[in-house]
Amino acid sequence: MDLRRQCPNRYPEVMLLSSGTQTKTDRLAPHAEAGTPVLEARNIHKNFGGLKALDDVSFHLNKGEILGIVGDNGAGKSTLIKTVTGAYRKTSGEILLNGKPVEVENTRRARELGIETVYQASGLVEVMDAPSNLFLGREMTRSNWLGNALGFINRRMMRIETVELLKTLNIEVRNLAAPVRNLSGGQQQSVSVGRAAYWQGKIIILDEPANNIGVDQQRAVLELVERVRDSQGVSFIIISHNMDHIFNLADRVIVMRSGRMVGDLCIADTSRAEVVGLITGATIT
Amino acid sequence: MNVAADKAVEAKRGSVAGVLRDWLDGRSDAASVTTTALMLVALILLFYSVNERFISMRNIVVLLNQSAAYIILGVGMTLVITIKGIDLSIGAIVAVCGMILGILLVNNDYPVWLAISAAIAIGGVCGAVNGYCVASLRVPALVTTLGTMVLFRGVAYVVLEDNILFRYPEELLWIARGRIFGLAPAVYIAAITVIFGFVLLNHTRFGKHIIAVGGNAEAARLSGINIWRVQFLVFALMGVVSSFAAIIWVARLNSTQASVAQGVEFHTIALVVLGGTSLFGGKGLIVGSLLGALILSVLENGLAITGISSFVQQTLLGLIFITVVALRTLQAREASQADEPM
Amino acid sequence: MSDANSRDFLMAVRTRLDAAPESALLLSTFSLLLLMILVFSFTADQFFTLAVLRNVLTQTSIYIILGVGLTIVLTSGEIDISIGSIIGLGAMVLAVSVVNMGIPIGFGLIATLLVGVLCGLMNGFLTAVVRVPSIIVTLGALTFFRGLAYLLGGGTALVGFPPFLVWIGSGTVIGVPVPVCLALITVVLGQLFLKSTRTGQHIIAVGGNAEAARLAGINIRFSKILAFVIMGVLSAVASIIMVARLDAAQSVMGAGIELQVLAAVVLGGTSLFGGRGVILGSVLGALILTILQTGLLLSGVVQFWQLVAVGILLIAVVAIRISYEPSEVRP
Ligand SMILES: Nc1ncnc2c1ncn2[C@@H]1O[C@H](COP(=O)(O)OP(=O)(O)OP(=O)(O)O)[C@@H](O)[C@H]1O
Ligand SMILES: [Mg+2]
Repeated sequence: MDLRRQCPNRYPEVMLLSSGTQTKTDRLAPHAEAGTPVLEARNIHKNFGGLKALDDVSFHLNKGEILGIVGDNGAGKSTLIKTVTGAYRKTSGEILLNGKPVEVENTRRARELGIETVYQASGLVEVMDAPSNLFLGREMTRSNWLGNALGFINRRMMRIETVELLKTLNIEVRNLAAPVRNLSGGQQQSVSVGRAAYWQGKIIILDEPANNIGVDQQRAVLELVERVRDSQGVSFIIISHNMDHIFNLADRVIVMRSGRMVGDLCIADTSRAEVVGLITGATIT
Repeated sequence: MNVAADKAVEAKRGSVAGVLRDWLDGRSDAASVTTTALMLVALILLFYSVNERFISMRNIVVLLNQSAAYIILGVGMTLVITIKGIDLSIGAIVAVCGMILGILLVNNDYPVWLAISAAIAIGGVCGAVNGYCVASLRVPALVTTLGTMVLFRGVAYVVLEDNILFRYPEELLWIARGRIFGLAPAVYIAAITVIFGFVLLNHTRFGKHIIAVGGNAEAARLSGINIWRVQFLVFALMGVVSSFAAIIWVARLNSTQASVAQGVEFHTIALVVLGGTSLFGGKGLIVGSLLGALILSVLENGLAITGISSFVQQTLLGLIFITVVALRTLQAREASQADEPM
Repeated sequence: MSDANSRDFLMAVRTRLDAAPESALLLSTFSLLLLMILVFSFTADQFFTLAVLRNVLTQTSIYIILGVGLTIVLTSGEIDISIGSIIGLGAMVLAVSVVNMGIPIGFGLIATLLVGVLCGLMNGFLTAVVRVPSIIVTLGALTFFRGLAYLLGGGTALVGFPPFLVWIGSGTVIGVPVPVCLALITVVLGQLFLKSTRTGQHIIAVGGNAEAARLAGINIRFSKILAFVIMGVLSAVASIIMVARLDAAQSVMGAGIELQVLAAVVLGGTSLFGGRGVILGSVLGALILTILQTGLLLSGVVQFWQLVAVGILLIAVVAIRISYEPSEVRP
């Protein structure tokens, strides 16, 4: 028997609320297909010296699903996704992609495997301009032989693509040649989210994407997540402290507390009170 | 209660190694200094096995007299590096202070105490210039002291030109050549400087501020520490101790010229690093620097005693320095487990 | 133009320059250079003779070549103070192989460049892989390489180089001295590399924010090691030019040059903290330093005052620059 949880997508549930007739099984999301999860982590341990930052954490992500991760500060959320995406070396554990074990030895490998990540600390090089940041590590090169052989970058193309992307994200940047240091914190955050969206991995992981950005940009980011999921069947992991975002967006949520996973719940079957209770460790009846 | 945390504590209590590691974690400074001390002992034994004369009273006295100026500079540089600064101008400051001594004592007949006070004052002024540029103008310490290194040296050259001043009064020479209980007064000056530096850094409020500014300047600023004052005073202090070194230097050589003490800044930085002080700021080991100074002196003195050519000596010195620092770094990384994939 | 108009115009310029910090830096360095040339053209009559200019350019070429290398290293967030010793070692390898052992000059040159590569590899390995701070690594290397130079060549000067090497030092190509040609090539290649290639961009990213670069999958080790290797090779090139110009090689060659080069690069606006490298600025910085020294000399200022002037200029320029930088912290 497969104990892995399949959760319904949020939108059918909204329809359910309005029609009120469907049964639970009918609510299975069109996106969250049954079958092998696209990403699965088994028994992940991560120690920092004597500190057990992750203690035997296992989770999985279904195709087309939006998975929320919640937990208090220092619960180990960022460490978990950093370990999974090769930013940290794991102490032990196993990672499977579409059911096949993979070795994610660094972030480069993760990207090759189709995992795009926005890490919590902005992840931008402040002294470089927005196009350079968008294409960081994957710069476009000129198509002539010189460009190929010596890696001459194609600034014009990178610029055009950036303009397009920023437009869809509703971000206004007056001077694209200026270092992103000159952008506001929220605009910077939008650029890093935009980067993950632009590269369109099969899995996109966002660590507090709505952190310190304005209401408008928050909405743009959340809409973007939904749009990308619906149109391309991408699976998402979203870390957030904002229960509204989790409950509006996610299909399923896992709860971390002091390095352990203490809950794996379908949004449709749970309440905020229950999730908050799990986060703080208070028992609820 | 937090079950996971309880378990972790239990697991640690179980093993002796865990206890030991916890103890060392809490006292990484002590561990670091111990390593340095062991290195020093090993070196001394090594050279002793090559030549028994190495541990003779005479040689020890020579060694300490030679190291005194470096130890003093090391104390100042430790404080500078602890605030994440660096001072390349100390050799030039020594030259300027030497110049003052020469003018007052050789070209004129001022009393020695006056000349010494003047030298210390000039050292303080030079340090204050550095401090002003770093703290007020916010020019990075490396650039500031690179500039003042050329500037101060230039001043010494403008005044002294290519002349060598010598024949200093006996009272000044006594500082390096006299003996109190068998050791030169310079050694006592060094000892007092070390004690002063140690107490200042580890047992005063100002010392805590120094560590805070080096560890995280922004946090220190937000918690109300006057960064400006800390930076300014530390560089000024470096200037003052450089003048001590200059006095000892002049007394030892019985001469002054504009080119004196060229390159001591690198020697001093090297000994501070050997002593385990972090170049990333926020961690300063005065005792480590003392040991570092002794290690460098033992190395130079010991290599000389083995009778190999000075060319080989220099090569070995560089090689040993690089190896030690590399091993240190690897050890520190092992301990912190900060081994992220690239 | 009315007052309001001109103020608008100034504001517009200011915004533009804020957005393009490197152009602003270049502009300020260039103005300083022009100012200096203007002053010296009044105080020193012979300043504008062709011979003087040619001499200034040839002298500066070594600093320019080294400056390009150091700019790249600083951009990657590191520093190299061993370049003077690499020059000494390179000179000795060249001299011993060509003069003492009679190896053809071509192989001698290749050997010298290889030594530069090896020195750079060592510095880069210890910095990027072992992760010892580069100032410490290259401080040790400074002693080590110089020691090796002495071991190879002893303390005496070696002379008797073949004509080809002499040509590198004093020959010309269509009227331009060979060292100047080499410097030009280095600047063009350096600028192209840093600003227009992927690897160059990675070096900027690594120096600008190492953690962001790492998370973006950039190979930090490779970028840093490459920067040091480039520095090593360029130091070797500089050593060849030095030997060629003197027609003699000595173990002490290049001693202390690292600080001069550092001064030139910093004058040019390159950041000591990584992420911002202005290669053309370093060229201007090197020119400023040589012109200042030559100009003072020709104006009859005593040699030692030049040191004072250089020190004050360096601090003043950086201080003024910093006061214009958008500042987050004011204690
Ligand atoms: N590089 C590191 N070295 C040592 N300890 C670390 C490191 N990174 C994280 N930790 C520790 O691991 C624990 C988990 O940290 P993590 O950043 O994963 O928390 P988080 O759940 O993301 O919190 P937040 O909501 O504040 O982002 C914390 O106790 C933290 O101190
Ligand atoms: Mg986090």
